[in-house]
Amino acid sequence: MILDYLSEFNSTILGINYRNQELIRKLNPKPKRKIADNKLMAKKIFSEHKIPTPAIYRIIKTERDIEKIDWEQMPKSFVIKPTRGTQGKGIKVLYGKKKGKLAWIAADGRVYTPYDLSKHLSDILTGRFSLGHKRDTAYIEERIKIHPTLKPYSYKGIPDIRIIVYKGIPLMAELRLPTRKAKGTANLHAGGIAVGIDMATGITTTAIQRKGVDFVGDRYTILETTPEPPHLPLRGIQIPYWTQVLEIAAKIYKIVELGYLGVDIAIDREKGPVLLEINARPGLGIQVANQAGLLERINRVKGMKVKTVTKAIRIAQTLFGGEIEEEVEQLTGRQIIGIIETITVYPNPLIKKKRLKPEKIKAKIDTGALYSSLDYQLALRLGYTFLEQYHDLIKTNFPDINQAKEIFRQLKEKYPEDTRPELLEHFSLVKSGSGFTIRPTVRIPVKIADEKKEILFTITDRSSLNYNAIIGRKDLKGFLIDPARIFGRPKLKLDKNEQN
Amino acid sequence: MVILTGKPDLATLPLNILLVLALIPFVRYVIGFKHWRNYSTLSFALSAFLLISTFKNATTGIVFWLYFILLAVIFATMTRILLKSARLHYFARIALIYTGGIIGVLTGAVITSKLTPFNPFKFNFSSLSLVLIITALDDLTILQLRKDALETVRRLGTTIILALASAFLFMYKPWIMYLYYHQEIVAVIIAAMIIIGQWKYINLVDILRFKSILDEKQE
Repeated sequence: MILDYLSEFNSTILGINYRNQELIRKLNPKPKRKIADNKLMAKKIFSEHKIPTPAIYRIIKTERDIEKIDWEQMPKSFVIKPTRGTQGKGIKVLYGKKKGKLAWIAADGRVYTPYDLSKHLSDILTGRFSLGHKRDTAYIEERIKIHPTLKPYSYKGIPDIRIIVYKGIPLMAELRLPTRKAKGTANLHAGGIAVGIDMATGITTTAIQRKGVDFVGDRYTILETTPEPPHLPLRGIQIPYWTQVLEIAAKIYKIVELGYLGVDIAIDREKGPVLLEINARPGLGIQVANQAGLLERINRVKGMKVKTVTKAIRIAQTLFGGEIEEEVEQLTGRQIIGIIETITVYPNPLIKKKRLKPEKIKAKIDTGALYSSLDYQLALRLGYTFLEQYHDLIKTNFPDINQAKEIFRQLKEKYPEDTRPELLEHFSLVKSGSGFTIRPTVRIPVKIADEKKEILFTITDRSSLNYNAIIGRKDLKGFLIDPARIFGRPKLKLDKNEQN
Repeated sequence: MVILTGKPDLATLPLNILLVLALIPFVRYVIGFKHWRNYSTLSFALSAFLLISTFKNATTGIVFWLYFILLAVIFATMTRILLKSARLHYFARIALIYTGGIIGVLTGAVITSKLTPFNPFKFNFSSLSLVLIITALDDLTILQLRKDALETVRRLGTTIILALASAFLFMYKPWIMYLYYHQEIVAVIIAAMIIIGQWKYINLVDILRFKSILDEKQE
């Protein structure tokens, strides 16, 4: 049991070792990582590809550059960043000017004079915040104006969205909110809030905040509302411009060719989604905010070759949306299925043959049909071999209803109820586009979504049709149909002859 | 006596150091505990070994060792707090924090020699032990400036436990005897290093960290 647990863990959760060995080392070659590690170089490349980024006011490379800054000409708000900083260290967000003074107020409430800011710039240059403590470059850029949707949830700082992208496919996202506890930063270790985001809808789901620490590591608590008044609910926030956010994230792969990366995007109230930076070694805490494993998602898309950004987004939304659906399911007690759904059809329970295995097939969920229908050949494969005696009947289309009715009457006399095979409930006279058919109706166990049930299927020859089965209204109680949820459209025209 | 005390046995030390160097990545990648870097952990292990070996009673040795480490950390941290508002360049700040730690160790040594029969400066091994503690402060000062207090304490804790365990291995008689006569175990240690170096599976800390996700899913 422990081995099963560990095995499931290893296939679901992305751990730090796998991330380093299999993702960063293999998918993020060193020359490409350098782009991600150098924010200025990355900004230049993104601008060339028309990806919106905050404007740069000034680049500081030497102490002399610091001396040349005319602080009186600096705007009311701006951000100081190290080029090669990590984990948000060294970033100073100054969101307003102190009245009557040449000083700026930071998100943590501290006031910074030109002297303080010069010293901070000097620290950046000497490598205090850079990878490997190497000498660094600083830059001053525009401060993002927070979008009004996210502003009520943020304490002073700038909220941003982190998206994990695997070979161009967005896998998982979280909204990071600054808090008072984190002194106006969204740093999770310092007390910022991370909120999972449903990939399909861009609606927030679970929110977490660090509640303490022990020897093992950070401990998180699930939050329902913001810690500061007016204690707004954190679940159900619609991220503005969600599709554009995903587009930006998916495009980055083609530009920088990093197979596994974190993309940080902020939403400016005037400009919309703006790329802040990319991260070649994104952290793993996003899994806790989403209550889902990254490795499971990676395994689902491994091997997929995605040619366009649109396709990448559609894959992400189709495969990794669903948290909201689960909530609807919980509220209504009904499971959500699409109009094409993969179902499992089980073999004849009366035959105990090991070679008979359940089959997974795509079924059309047809609310226009009353009854469900299953393909004859499929039924034979699954061990319902008693249907062979009705082979001719199944293959026959009666153009005339009176003829069909007469045959139907004769059948009922020929095969009274007590002589029929156990699973054969009755015969059904069915009108279809090509005439009338008489179909054996068989009770067959199936699994739709998570529900296992027995369905009365009319057995017919569906070999010329797109789907081996349709599920009619009678068997759709307990489900909600989401027309947008299509797991793949068939290339052939949908059959128009289906009528019951 | 299972643990050799009184005088450090240096014969098998080079091979034992290899074992510690394999233990460090094992603790980091297979268990998942973060600690100070290789030199600091090894240096603490050697300082523990030298100091504890000086005493006939291992417990006394451990107490003194922890005492000197804590003094070094406390003085370095106090120095950092004092310097917080001072406008100093980065490397100068590191040097001063380091100096604070050294003052702490020396202060502790003077107090010890005045109040107890133990005078660290009298014995070469104990003096060397203090030097090794001091040289490990580089990691502490950088960590203090780059990570938060809790992370610093957590890494210090792991480093101390790892160092202590390594020191006991250096003094554990059955192990020393085995190593003396079976030096081919070095090949096993090297093989272990390579295996650990390629470890890509989940570690213990990750299991504890992400357990809630899997439990939620299974429910």
